[in-house]
Parts: sequence; structure tokens; C-alpha cells
Amino acid sequence: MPRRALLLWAAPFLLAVLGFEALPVLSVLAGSFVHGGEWSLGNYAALLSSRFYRGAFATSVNVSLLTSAIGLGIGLPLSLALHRRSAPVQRRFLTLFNVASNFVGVPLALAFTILAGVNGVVTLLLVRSGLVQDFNIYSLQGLMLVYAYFQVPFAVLVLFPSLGALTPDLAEQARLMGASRLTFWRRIGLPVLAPSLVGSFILLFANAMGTYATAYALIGGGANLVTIRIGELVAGDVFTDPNLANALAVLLVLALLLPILVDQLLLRRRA
Amino acid sequence: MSFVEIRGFGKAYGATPVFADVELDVAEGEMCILLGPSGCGKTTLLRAVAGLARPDRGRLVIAGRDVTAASPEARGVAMVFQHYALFPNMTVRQNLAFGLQQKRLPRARIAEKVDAALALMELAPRADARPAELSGGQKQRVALARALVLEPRLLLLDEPLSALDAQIRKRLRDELKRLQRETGFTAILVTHDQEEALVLGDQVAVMNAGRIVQAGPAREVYDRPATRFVAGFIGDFNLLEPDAVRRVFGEQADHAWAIHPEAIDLLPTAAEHGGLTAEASVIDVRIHGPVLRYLVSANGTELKVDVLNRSSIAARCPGDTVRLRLDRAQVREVA
Ligand SMILES: Nc1ncnc2c1ncn2[C@@H]1O[C@H](COP(=O)(O)OP(=O)(O)OP(=O)(O)O)[C@@H](O)[C@H]1O
Ligand SMILES: [Mg+2]
Repeated sequence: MPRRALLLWAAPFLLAVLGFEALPVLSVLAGSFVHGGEWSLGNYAALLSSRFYRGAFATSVNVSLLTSAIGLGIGLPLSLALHRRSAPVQRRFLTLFNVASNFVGVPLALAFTILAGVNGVVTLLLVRSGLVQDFNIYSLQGLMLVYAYFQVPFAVLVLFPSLGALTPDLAEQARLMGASRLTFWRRIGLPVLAPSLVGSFILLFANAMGTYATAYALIGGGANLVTIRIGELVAGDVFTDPNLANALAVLLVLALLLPILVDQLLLRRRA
Repeated sequence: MSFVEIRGFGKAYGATPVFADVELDVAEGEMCILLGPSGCGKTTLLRAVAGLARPDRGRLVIAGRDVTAASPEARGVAMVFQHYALFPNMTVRQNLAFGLQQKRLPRARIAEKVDAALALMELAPRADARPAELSGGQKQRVALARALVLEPRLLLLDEPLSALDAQIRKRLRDELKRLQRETGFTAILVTHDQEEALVLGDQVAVMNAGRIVQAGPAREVYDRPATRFVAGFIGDFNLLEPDAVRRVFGEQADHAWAIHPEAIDLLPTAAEHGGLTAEASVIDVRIHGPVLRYLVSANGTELKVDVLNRSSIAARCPGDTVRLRLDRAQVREVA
């Protein structure tokens, strides 16, 4: 087929990419350089000099790093265990994890409020039994617990396909050669999985950084997260500044792109 | 007493037995071939010898030591897996060094041994490559070198050549045989290729449905199959039931006859001859390199006949009538 005809066939796809991906990004990017009605870096200057907004970034990054680490920490052993099971069992659990990792936003916040809110079932049980003094789900710790709910299954979903590289005969071979389990994991298991662990961590990080509805529904504007600040600047009750929100969004995108670029560079060097 | 003694080995997964009553003796420096059809339990038996699968009953002695209950790493065996199981994150050199490092050998000693193994297997130019950058044959040689560098008491090989194409397979087969002659290692090799078994094996043990049905020197197993199954599996025997024997050769037989295709002579109809004879017509003829393989029909029974291919031009054509001649001594009666 001539190139022109191919382009025609791809046109609907290209239009969709242009309209729903490229244009919004470009408009956000352009808007972020408009400050007080003129082109300038004023928005960025305002953000970077503001303790408040720097704090939002710090909190978002902290929460995301921690919940990604929790996600991988629980997700890796979970996917390894699942990897040893039969195909039907694997399918069933992967479906379950798929549902869980997509169970976010208002429904998730509501579910956790009912279970672990101030008068939540679990909270009351724990407090009555004397195991905890009190537990506040509407805090950053609480938020992380809720994030973990979708980060763990998400980690399993992104890690699982890469476990195929770690065939059982590798572990058996190492064992026959006299290696302990620890040695196997240190010298073979983790190095083999390392690229996908890094890649998964970046995905989890991006997943957490971009979460808005779950956090907003749980804590509201009180949580100083980047996404919540953006939402407030666009549609807040007190004051709005869409262009400042644009600049904030651009910085958020940069924070997500940076680790991806570093990862790609590392992978290329290794290959 | 043999170097390796397997006594009464049995294993079942749930209710289905994988192998049972396995008895096998391997002498020091011998290459023993486990030959059998797919699913007959060869891999599981090999894994049980390695200690990776636990037999339900039986005893295993290696080099005079009862290792039935010993852990895999304490048995002094090395194994080459069917898909090589090379560590993908390590270079060829690191793969070879790994086992020696676990033995806590001094660094200089390890380098020395690894270099020697690389040289032996002609892998030196690829020493710093990772498995993904190697060809199938090279991977195979790395797997073999990695096992040999440990100087195991017993080397276990699970279909080491089956993942390779025919050309490389033949070359590596000869290389393996040369290596064994030179270094004198003791090995059990699993295959389902009868030619490979006959070429490589000092001893061939034929397995069927979880049992060793015949074990002995390759020559003997080829010449004197103990059962119909062995005859069918090794050497492409013609198998004639007693009534077919009567129809073709006019002889009374108590058991089925197994006859090698190369044991039958094709003669012109008028020729003089002793021994058993029969009239037959040629159905088909194929060139298998150095031999011609005829398919002939004698009194309604089809027979395979191999003749040395001195001249394909002189070959008989389909439809020709020929005379078959056979020495009675070449006939193997099988139960
Ligand atoms: N872990 C297991 N659980 C249940 N059954 C098993 C297990 N491993 C092997 N089997 C069964 O044991 C039988 C023998 O398997 P094995 O792998 O030893 O055969 P094989 O002779 O090596 O075959 P192939 O030539 O195809 O490799 C098969 O029927 C297989 O289904
Ligand atoms: Mg097998």
C-alpha cells in the first residue's frame, strides 16, 4: 500500500491522539507560560518560591514513594507465590487483582470510611480490643493505607508477566551447584528481575502521583497533594488560577517523566 | 559393586506412578543412556537421581556412598537441563565460575579452571557474552562446560541435544563422545532418539511406561531386543507375528520374529541361495544416504529391507519382483 493510503487508514487514530492527547498537553503547556495575561515564567517562579506548593510536591512524592515500596514489597512475594500455582488459579487471582487495582476514587474512599473511619467497624473492633488507642483514616497514614489497597494488586499485575524469565530450572540449577536460597536471590533472582522491578516501581509511582479522586474523597482539600492543589486551582471555591494549575501540572508531568527517562537510559546501557 | 546403583526406585504423583521398580547400574567412566518415548518418566527419574525429586521408595548409591536421603548439592552430581538453564544475567565466564565460587575455591584457582573449561569447549572467544547473545549450539556447550568444570562424580544430561537442529546436533553428539573419552566422566543421558542412544551409549537402558524394560551394552540392546516394545523402539525392526512368519517364510514360530531391515538380502529371482527365502514385490524405494530402504510386500506382509547404496542406478523399481533371503540366525524371537 502506498504511504498516502496508509496515512489515510491511520487518520482516525492520529486524530484521536491529536485531539485527546496532544492538544490538551499543548494547551496546558502553553497556559503554564501565561502569567497575568502575558507570556512569562511567572507561574513557575511563584510555584518554586512557594513553601506551600513545594510542600505539596514533597508530600505527593513521599506518599507515592512509600506506597510504591509497599506495593512492590507485598506485590513481589505475592506474584511469586501466584506464579507457582496452576494456570486456572492464576487467571482467577489476576482477575481479582485487576478489579481491585481499578477500585479507586469515591467508592474506595467510602468503603474505607465504613470499615476504618472514626466509627468504622474495624476501627471500633481494634479500639475495643485495646490493640490500638485510636486510628485516623483521614490522615496521611490513612491515605497510604487506602493507596496500598490499589497499589498492591497493581504491582502484582505489572510484575507477573515478567516472572516468566525466572524459570524454576534456574533455581534448581543454582541449588545443585551448592547455592543457598539467599545466594540464588542475590546473584540470580533479583538481578534477573531488576529491570522489571524498576519499571514496575516507576509505574506504581506514577499511579500514586496521579491519584486525585481517592485522596479528595477521603480527606478533601486538607491533603496537601499536587493533584488536589491542581484541582483546587481549577475549580476551587476560594480562588482559581488555571494557569498556575497548568504550571503545576507540567511540573507533575516532569516529575513522572524523569524516572522513566533515567530507566530507559539505564536499560539501553545494559543492552 | 557399580559406581552408580539404583535399587527399587519408585515414584508416584498422587495415584499415578511415574516410574516403578527401577534398577540400574552404571560403571565408572560409562555413559548410560536412558531411552524411552515421551512421558515415560525419564526426566523424573533423572531428577530423582539429582535429588530434585524425592523417590517414594528405593535406594541410590553413588561412588560407594548411600545418597538416597542426601540433599542435591551434597551428591556431587551436575546436571544439564533440557533448556540449559543458563543464568541470563551472567556472562559465560560468570556462569562457569558460579559453581566453583559456591565451593569457596580461591579466586585464582577458579579463573584457572574456568579458562581451561572455556578452552576445552572452544568458548574462549565468547567468554564475555551473555546467554542471550549465544547461538543454540553455543548455549549447549556453555551448559556442558558449566557442569564439567565442577568435576562432578556423576553428570546428568536431560535431552541435551534435542533443542538443536540436525546439523549441530550431530556435531555436538560427536563432541560429547570425544569429551567423555578424554575426560572419562560418568554420565546418565536422557534421550528419545534411538540413533543418539546407540552412538553415545556404552550402556542403553530402554524405558517404557515408568519401567526399564531392557538395559545392556548398546550393541546387545540393538541386536537382541528383549521385548516387542524394545524391538519397535530401537533399530526399526520388522515385527512378524507367528502367522505372518508362516505365510512369508513357511516356518513354524512360537513367538513373534523381530528382523532388522539390514538382515534381509535382496536377490534376483533366479539366484542361488541358502537360508530362509521368500518371493516379494517392491512397493517403494527411498535413498537414505548410504543405504537404500525398500518397502516390499511378501505374501501380503510388508517388510522394510535396507541395502547398502553402492549405486542408486542399480536400484530395483516399484513393481519389480525380488527374492528375499534371511539367515535364520539373524532372527530375534520376542515375547
Ligand atoms: N510434578 C508433576 N506432577 C504430576 N505429574 C507429573 C509431574 N512431573 C511429571 N509428571 C508426570 O510424570 C510422567 C513422566 O514425566 P517425565 O517428565 O518424567 O517424562 P519424560 O520421559 O521426561 O518425557 P519427555 O520425553 O516428554 O520429556 C508424565 O506423565 C507427567 O505427566
Ligand atoms: Mg523429559
